[in-house]
Order: sequence, then C-alpha cells, then structure tokens
Amino acid sequence: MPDWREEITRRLRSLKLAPTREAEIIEEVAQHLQDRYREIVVGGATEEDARCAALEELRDENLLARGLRQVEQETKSEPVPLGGEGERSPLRGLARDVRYGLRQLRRNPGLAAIVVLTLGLGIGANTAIFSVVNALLLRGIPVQNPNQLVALAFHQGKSEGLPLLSYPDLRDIGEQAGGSLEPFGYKFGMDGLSEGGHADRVVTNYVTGNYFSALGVKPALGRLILPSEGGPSRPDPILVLGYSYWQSRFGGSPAVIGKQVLVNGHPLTIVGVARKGFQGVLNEVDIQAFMPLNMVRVEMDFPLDSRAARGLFALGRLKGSTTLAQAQAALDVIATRLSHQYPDTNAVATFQVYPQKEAALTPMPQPGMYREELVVTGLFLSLAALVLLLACFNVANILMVRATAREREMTIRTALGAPRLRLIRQLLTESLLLALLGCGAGVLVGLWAGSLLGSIHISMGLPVTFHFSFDWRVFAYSVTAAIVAGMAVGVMPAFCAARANPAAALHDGGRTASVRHYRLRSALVVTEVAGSIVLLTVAGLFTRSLVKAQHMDLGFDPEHLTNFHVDPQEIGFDYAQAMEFYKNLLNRVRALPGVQTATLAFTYPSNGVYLNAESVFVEGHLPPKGEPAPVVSVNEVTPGYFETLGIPIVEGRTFANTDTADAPLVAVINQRMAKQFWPGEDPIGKRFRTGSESGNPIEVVGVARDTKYEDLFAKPTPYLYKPLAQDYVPMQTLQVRSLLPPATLVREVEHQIHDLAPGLPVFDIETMMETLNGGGFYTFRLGAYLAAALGLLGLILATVGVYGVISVSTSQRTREIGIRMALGARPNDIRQAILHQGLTIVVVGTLLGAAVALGLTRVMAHLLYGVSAHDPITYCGVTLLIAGVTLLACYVPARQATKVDPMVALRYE
Amino acid sequence: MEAKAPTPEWKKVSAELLILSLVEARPRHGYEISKLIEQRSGGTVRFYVASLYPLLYRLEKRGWVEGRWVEKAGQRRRRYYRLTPVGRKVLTSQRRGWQAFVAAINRIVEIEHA
Repeated sequence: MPDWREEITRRLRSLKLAPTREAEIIEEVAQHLQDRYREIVVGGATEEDARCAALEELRDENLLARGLRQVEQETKSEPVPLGGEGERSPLRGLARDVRYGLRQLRRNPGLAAIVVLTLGLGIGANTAIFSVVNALLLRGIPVQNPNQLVALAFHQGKSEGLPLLSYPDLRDIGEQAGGSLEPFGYKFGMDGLSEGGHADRVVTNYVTGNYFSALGVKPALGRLILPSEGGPSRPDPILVLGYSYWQSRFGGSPAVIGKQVLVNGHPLTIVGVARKGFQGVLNEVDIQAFMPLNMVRVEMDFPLDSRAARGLFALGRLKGSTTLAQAQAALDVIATRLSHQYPDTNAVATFQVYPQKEAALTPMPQPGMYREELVVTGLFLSLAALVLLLACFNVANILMVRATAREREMTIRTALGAPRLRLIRQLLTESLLLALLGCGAGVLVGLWAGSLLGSIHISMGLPVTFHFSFDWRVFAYSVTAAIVAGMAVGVMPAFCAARANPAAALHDGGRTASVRHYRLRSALVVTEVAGSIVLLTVAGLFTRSLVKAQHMDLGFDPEHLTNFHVDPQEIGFDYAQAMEFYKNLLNRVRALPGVQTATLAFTYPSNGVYLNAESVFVEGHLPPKGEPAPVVSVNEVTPGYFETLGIPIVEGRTFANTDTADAPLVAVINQRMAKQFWPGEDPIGKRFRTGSESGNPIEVVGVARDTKYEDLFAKPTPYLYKPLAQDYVPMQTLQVRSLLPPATLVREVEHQIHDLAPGLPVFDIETMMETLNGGGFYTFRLGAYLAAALGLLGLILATVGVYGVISVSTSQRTREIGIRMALGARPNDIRQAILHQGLTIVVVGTLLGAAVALGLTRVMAHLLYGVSAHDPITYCGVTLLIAGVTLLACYVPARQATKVDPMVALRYE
Repeated sequence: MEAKAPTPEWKKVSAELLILSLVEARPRHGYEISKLIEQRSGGTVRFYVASLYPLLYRLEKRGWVEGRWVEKAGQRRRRYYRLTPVGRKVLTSQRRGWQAFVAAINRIVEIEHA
C-alpha cells in the first residue's frame, strides 16, 4: 500500500499549519487518494500505474499548498468580527471597531488619503471662517466678567455728531448712577515715544483713573493707573506700557519701572506694564502705552473740563445684578437732569447704553452693526458649511462605491448572525475615523487660511491686526464639524451595506444594489452641482460688487496719489515750529522732480479714524432755543488741496497763501452743505460760526463738488474745509501726486522730512488706492476673495463628484458596453450615451442650483453694490462655467468607454 | 461538431454550485463528491484533490457546509460534509442565478443562430 501521508505531508510543509489541522487534512486527503488507488486497481491497472494515477490527483508539487494557503489567508487577513456574541462590554466592542477600522484604512491608504484630503478641505474652510467669527464676535476682551461691560453713547436731538462723551458728563454719570453703573472712558492717541534718543510712533490710550480697576486688569509689572489719578485738576505724568510693546521695545526688562521717557517731548515716568494678553478694549488694536486722561491736556491740548468737548469713548461696568434696561433708566434720569442744569451744552441730550459687543469692532457703539455682523458671518458660515456638505457628498459617493465592493463581507457577517445595527456601528466608526483624520488636516488648513486672512492689509488709520487664532471654541467647532461630517458620509453607505440581501448580493455579484447605489450617488452629485452653483453665484456677485465699487465716482482722483502721515508734536514741535516745518516741507516736496502737486490735510476719504466735526451756527439761521446746532464734518487743509485731489471748485475760490492765521477766517464748503444751509441762495460770502454762537465769523469763499468722505457708500453729507493756518491740527497727511514709482517717491519724500525734522516718525505710508482697497473697498475685497475661494472649492468638488459617478457607472457598465459594441454600436454612440448620462446630472443640478441661488442671494442683497442679487450676467456666467467644466469631466470616462475591447468586456466580472 | 470542453472561467463560477447541490440531498465525503461530479457530467467536469479540498474547506469556513468525522462500523473514519441552513439559502439563489444566466445566453445564442 503506498504511503500517501508522506506525499501529502511534503506538499503541506511550507504552510506551517497547526499540527492538529495538518493531521486532519493529511488524513482526509490520504483517504481520498486511497479510494482512488483502489478504484483504479479494481479497474485492472497495476499497482504502480494505480499509484501514479492517484498521485495525479495532487497535480503538481505546489497546487494543493497554494489552494490551502489561500483558504488559510482568507481567514487570517479578514478576521471578521462577529456581531454581538461574546461582547459584553460596549466599550470593548467599540475598541474592536476602531481597531478594525484602522486596519481597513491601512489596507486602502490611497482611498483614505483622498477622503481625508477632501474632508480636510471642507473642515478647513469652516475652521478658517469660524476662527474669524470667533476673533471678531465671540472672543471677548480678556477682562473680568466681560458680559457686565457696556458701551455708552451720547446723542443730542437730531444731531449727527460723534456719540462721544465729555469728561464732565462722564464724571456726573459716575457720581449720579449710584450703585448701578461704573463708567470709565478713554481717548485714542498717536504719539511719539522717545527713549535713549530713539523715537517710536505708538498707539496710546488716555484713560480715566478707574479704567483698569473697572476692567479688572492686573499689572504684569509695577502698577497700573490708579482711580485717584487722571482727574482734571493736575496732570499725572506717568505711563503704563502695553505688554507686547514692553517686550519688543524694552526687551521685557524689569528695569523699565521708574524709567523716564519723552512723549511728544514731555517727560513721563513708566510705573508699570499691563498684563500679558490685555491690549485695550478693542481686540484688533494693540495699545502700546496708557496714560492718565489728564495728560490729554498736555499732549493734545484737549480741554478736559469743557462739557462741550466731547472726545471720550465711554464704557461702563454694570454693578451687581443691574440689567441693561435698569442702567438705561438711570441714564435717562441723569440726562434729563443735566439738560436742565446745562442747557447750552446738554439740551435734548441723551445717553444710550448698549452691550459692549456693539463697540467691539470699532470704538464707537453702532447699534445694529452687531446684527449686521451676524448676518454677514452667518452668510459666510453657511457658505463654508455648504462646501463641507459638498465634500461630504463626494466622500459619501466614494464610500458607497467601496461599500459595494465590501458587500460580500457584510453579507457573510449578516449570514453569520451579525445584527444589522452592529454592522452599521462598524461602518459608522470607520467613517468617523476618517472624519477625525480629516479634522486634523482641516485644522491645519484652517490655521493656515486664518493666518492668511489675518495678513490681508487693512487701512483704517490705526494699526489693526487680526489674530484669528485657535482657541477652545475653534477646536470644538472643528471637532463638531468633523463628527457631523463623519456621520453624514457614513450613514448612507452603512445603511446600504447593512440592508443588503445576502442572497441577492451573493447571486448577482451585487448588481441590483449597484443600480440602487447609482441612483443615490447621482442624486448626491446633482446636489453637489447645485451647491457649487450657489457658491460661485455668491462669489460672482461679490466680485461684480467689488468691480463696481472700484469704479464708482469718488468725486476725486485717487490715482498716483500717495499719503504720508506725520505729527511733529511727537518730537516736541510746538505750533510755530510745526507750521514752519510744514511750510518748508510743502515747498521742498513740490519742487521735487516728478512731483505734480502736494498738499497737507488732516483727513482724507475712507479714513474712519481721523474725524473732526463741529457745531455750525449759521447767521440768520440759528437753531431754536433748546435745539442743538447741526454738526458738520471738518477737514483742515493747505492751499493746493483741491488741485492735488482733483476736486473741482464749482463756485468761488480755493484757499490761498493769504488765508493766514491773522487774516479773516474763511472756509470752503461742499455742495450738500450749501444746499442744506442756503437753499436757493448763493453761499459765497455767507457767514457762519463753529463751536459756539459767539465764535469768530467764518466766510464762505468757495463751494467744492461733493465727494466721498469717510464712508464711501454713504450719500454725501455736509462738509466744510478750513485752512490749516487758521485751524491748526498737529497731525497731518502729506498727499503727493506724482508719476514717480512709489518706492522712489517714498524715498525722496522721507529724505526731505528727515532733513527738516530728524527723527520724526513717518507712518502709514500708502497710496490712495491702497487706502481705498484696505479701507472702503475692504469688505468687498474680503467678501470676493472668501466667496471665490469657497466657490472654487465647490467647483472642484462638484467636478470630481461628476467625474467619479460617471466613471464608476461606466466601469460597471463595461459588460453592457462590450455587448453593444459586439452587436454593432459605434464608438460615437457609446460616447453620446455616457455624455447624455452626465448631461442629465449637470442640467438638473444647474437648474436646482440656480433656483436655490435666486432665493438665497436675496439675503445678501444689501451687502452688494451696483449689482442686483439677480444679476443676469453673474448667473449666466456661473452656469456656463459649471456646465462646461462638469461636461468636460464626463468626456474623459466617455472617451475611455469607447476604447473597450468587446471580447474583454464580455468576460468582465 | 463536438462540444468544446468548458473553460476555466466557466468552471470557477459553477464549482461552488456543484458542491452545494451534491450535498443538498444528504451528507457526502470528498471522494464521493468528486466521483458524482465526474459521473453526472459524463467525464466533462473533473475535480482533482488539489482543487477539491481547498474549495471544500473554503465553503466550510464560510459556513455553507459543515464537515464532521464519521466512523462507521468496520470502516476508517471519514469526513462527511452536509449543507447548512445558510448554505441552503446560498444554493437556492445561486441555482436561480445560474438558471437565469444560462437562459440569457441561450436567448442570445438562439437569436444569432436564427
């Protein structure tokens, strides 16, 4: 009898099976060979022939081992975790799901990378936008109980003056508000700080004595300004440094305490450093030095004890459980009392109190602005969420294709008794793992995008920096977005796979399920196309608004105009020295080769920080008793201003060198002011007074054309210009019109400035176009860039989605295509059939997207300029773009389908 | 014209179906299964040991068949395979699918022939 065992054992040696398993296989196969041998011998063959014939059953040396190895590997590589049985701990089950999910990811690194990247882009867009929202709206200033802080504003009848308070009013509120409210105030300054012969231009706050105590801020070093300091009786020449300025300028040295510095030439002593992280009450402006409010008399010649001198930004802290309404009631009583006590200055005056966040972005409370900000941020958060939705649809499509491939695994597990919920949990765990990895990628993308957004130049007249940094809110938002995305992308494939009928899946290779999945995937892609239409439409509308805004009639010529800001007071120049400096500077700059004209002005269009306004008393048209005089914006300028800016004088004359401090006071007004105060009359020669009824009369000598002023999108308001010589303001903007390259011009002008005033800081040097782009046009630019970035992401996702679904569908139809071509179909017919499939998706998606966009864009209509929310050029352009790109995406698989070899296709499985 | 031998592709698709259907009626051991296949196909289809047993073990691991050692009096023990309930469901659908496939091919072939 032949020894079959030896033959079989030799063939199985390489498998290294467990001894019992090997023994069983050997016994069984040996039994079979023995039966075969006996059959052949009974048939009449010799023993040797029978032995050889039996061994033929084993074929070659390796076939049996190869076959068994595949069986053994199938079991090892896919340890199918069984559902339910033996799993007493849900945590253990979850841990097993996570381990299994990670194993699946490792087996498909390419797919995992695509999914993580796609989700990362979607989550990243959301992280970036949310970090902006967080910085601007949610993250309060780092003080004690920021929810108790309020902003105070002053209003007087119908007057449109700035809502700032005077020091006496603020003091009276503090004394009379009792236990309900503690007010405090500050004034912005741009001063020169010299130490060791080196002068810096610093952003300063002049603050009331209780500023730091009311905010609850502690010092990092030394002490802060005390409540007993800052009163109007005498100046307190002390200074508190901002933390980051202390670090950058003084190297964080503790030796600064007690050091004497010069502020605008006046000696002050450093007494302390504010704590790290506190940079004043506006998050985006870093205050470099704080001084007591009484120093504003020294540095700015500001009349602190004049009730009419309204120049303080005021905040307050609600005490105890006082509500906003209670505080308002108390202020109403105080306002009434003051209007009776001081009718000259406080007639029909009221104080309004708002939540501090109404003054979070700009120091002046602008009620309704917070709501407006919420609308804008809501819009962009929605757009970013839409991008994430499109990304989720793309990923859901990918996972559904994979789910089809894994159907066999799922059906085996179902057949083995795994509850469907268990399978769903497994698949959802895998999706969540992908989503969390996408969250990690998204956070990195978001941080990068946030820092990019923060670096966009903003021109506001104050050094503004946005810190779109990562804190617990941004982290929580990103993780939430990831979890929602993970559930969204996983739920459909999970339910599809868990719903699979084992018999159907095993019998037809899953083709029935494929048809159902194709319809679902197509529906997802239709939604993607629609979503990208919405995104690109918003982007298109913002872009068109930007273009319209940039071409608006500003009323002056911003081209080839460069602004230089100087303040000779920062190096201690007095009035005479400053005027001499300015006269010489203008002469020298005008004489420079390449310079056409030059002028000096206090402020310029789109600057919302350097603002001056005065009450105007027109002869013969005085306001009734008890009514406040109208307030008009004022700009102090030198002769040559209107020529330099290209503002036509429609009547009368401009300023001349003869309009000196000793000459009769004159003014040039704008058309709007002429219409308001002298309707139907010739304003030339008319007189008015500013500040008070008893001031010196000012004669109108010219009328300038209306232009845009601080708000480029507002209707022209009354505006008046005064000669700098007659209404001195230390800080001026040198405005130079020249065709020289900006770098050359800047170098030449700075040289002249420093030749005349060594060490004088020259700041905020920028062209007028840069000012406009960073100022009035900033919102449109930001909106256009953000929307365009989101729109581009949406377009890419939709294109990839269309390509993916058509490509997969085409590959699944390979056999059908092969049969068709074998039966005589031409390549063109096949191509058209595939394109038709794609066209249906694109057309339905486009129509749906356009309909949704028409409805949604109504919300943002008031944010646009010069275009309607239903602008046909935008809608047509976007539709053509999407249709073109996505049809191109269909063309590639369509073309590939025509290259199918019918014989190969028929064997395709 | 003599009928052509089945290609490897055809055999792979039908191998599982053959084995499941042969153990449907009653449990059988490996040699019995291979003899039945050869006999009922008129020698057209043959399963060698090197192919048969890996396939049987695969079906067993999937839970479609269950193998058991049976010792009958006077004989050496043999491993018998029987159809499981899951396997029965699989057989039903595979049989249906095979019949549909064959019918579809027949329709195409008959049309061309006509």
